[in-house]
Amino acid sequence: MSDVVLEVSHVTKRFGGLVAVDDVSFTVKRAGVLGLIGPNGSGKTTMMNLITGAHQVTSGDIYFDDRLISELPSRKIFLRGVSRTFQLVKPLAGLTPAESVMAGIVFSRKPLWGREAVKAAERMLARVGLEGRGGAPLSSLTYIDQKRVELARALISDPTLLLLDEWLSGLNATELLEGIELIRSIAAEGTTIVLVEHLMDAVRELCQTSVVMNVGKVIAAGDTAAVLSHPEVINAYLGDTNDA
Amino acid sequence: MSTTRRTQWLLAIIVFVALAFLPVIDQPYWLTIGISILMYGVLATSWALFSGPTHYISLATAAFYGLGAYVVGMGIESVWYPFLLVIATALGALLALVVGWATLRLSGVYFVIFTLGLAEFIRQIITWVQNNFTGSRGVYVLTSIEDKHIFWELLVLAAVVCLFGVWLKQSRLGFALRVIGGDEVVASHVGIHSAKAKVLLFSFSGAVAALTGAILAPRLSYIEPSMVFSADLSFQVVIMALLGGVHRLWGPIVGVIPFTFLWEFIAAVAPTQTVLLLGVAFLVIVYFIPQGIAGLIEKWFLKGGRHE
Repeated sequence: MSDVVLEVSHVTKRFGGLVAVDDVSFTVKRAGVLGLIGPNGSGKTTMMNLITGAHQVTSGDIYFDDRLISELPSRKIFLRGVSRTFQLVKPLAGLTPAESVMAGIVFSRKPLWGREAVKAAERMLARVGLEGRGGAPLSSLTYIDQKRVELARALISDPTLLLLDEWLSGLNATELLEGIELIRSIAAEGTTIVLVEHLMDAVRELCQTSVVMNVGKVIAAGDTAAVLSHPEVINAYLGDTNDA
Repeated sequence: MSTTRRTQWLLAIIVFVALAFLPVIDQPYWLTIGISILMYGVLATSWALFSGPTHYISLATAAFYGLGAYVVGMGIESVWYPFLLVIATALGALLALVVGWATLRLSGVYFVIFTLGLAEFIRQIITWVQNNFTGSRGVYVLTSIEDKHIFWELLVLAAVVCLFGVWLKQSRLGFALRVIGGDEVVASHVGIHSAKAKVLLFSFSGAVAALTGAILAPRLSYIEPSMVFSADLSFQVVIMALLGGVHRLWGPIVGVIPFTFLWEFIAAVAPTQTVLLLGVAFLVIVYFIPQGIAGLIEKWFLKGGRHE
């Protein structure tokens, strides 16, 4: 098993004339938390979609565990061990929270079904702070609770790589602290995490290394503290002083 | 829990056996109504098994039904009837497989339009073939099969569809379809082969509709493309399923029973206005009872009693 879980190599994604991701390369080390940050519209979510196969790359390669995955459909990438949450929560209408979480394990590489799957789902709900809420009607869940359900669904298959797309955003101060602790504990169990996030405090807390994107390009990468004080990164977030 | 389950099975068996005696009482009116209810019941239930969880609205019922009827029409002179039923079922499944594979990757609206066009497309092909090669537009189906035989065949088919529905409900495939109905992007991100799951179910409902057409062909005596490929049938099936409710296995049949009587009534008093009234019925159902009668029943009788 090599030290690198994910390698993104010269990846470009075009939507018609728009270049959403422009010749991006970075690597994700095993058992760490990598922050993928940048202003709105910088291509972070598109990058996530390319990794999970929701979009196909226009050019470039993505390797997961040293095997090329950028040609594969989402289903197969998931079966290799990549799970994700979505920036805009996708609740499953017509399913209970327990069933929504179960969906993450029933068709996974270590599938469970029936009573065992239900039990695993309930355990996972407890872990994200929704103990005993598995049968609650979906409409009774708050936005935050739906986010918790989605994290549980991503986590239940015990992924090698977990992609969290702004999972912490929208949490209040207490919830944020709990959320950070939760992500830390997931990482401590050996799951590699890529965190797309706007909350810089959370990135500083959780991520040893970070990649900063702006207008589709990587403008800085490396140790989080160093990256965040990089002049180009400050410009990207606060606006170029020369433009003003 | 297991005792209610047992009671349900017992009740289902009693209903099945009781219905099997319907032809014996020798009441032609009730046998005719019984055949209509079973036919629409089978079509609407198998339609709902696919469209209920996935929300893909198929208007292809007539395409499969007509195909099945035509298999019997073409083959009845030379091939043993039960074998024709097998051929019709297999062709229905095959057609659904091909169509499904080509269209189910498309988003909902394109699928609806394509399925609507499919029946018309097949109808035109058969009309063209008959005009150019066989000389006559229709075919005669002359057999010794009587209404009571058709009723029994449909009753067995209905039982098979219901058993499949019960199995599906507690199977991984059924669960996959519910996740697909919830959100297809999520489905593909949790390892579900959504195209495969959808095509499998679509093939099942296509095979059932083709078999239904094959079973009913002897009753028609004379088959013409415009009769068996009529879009009215596709719409009727959708309306009945929605009227009953598609989220429960027993939902569609609850819609079929009142609709069949209503239809008999409309056909008797206003035979030229059927399509108009069909459209009005569709609007009323979608607007006032989107969850169907099954949804209303659950809301009225189980109010507040089902929170786990």
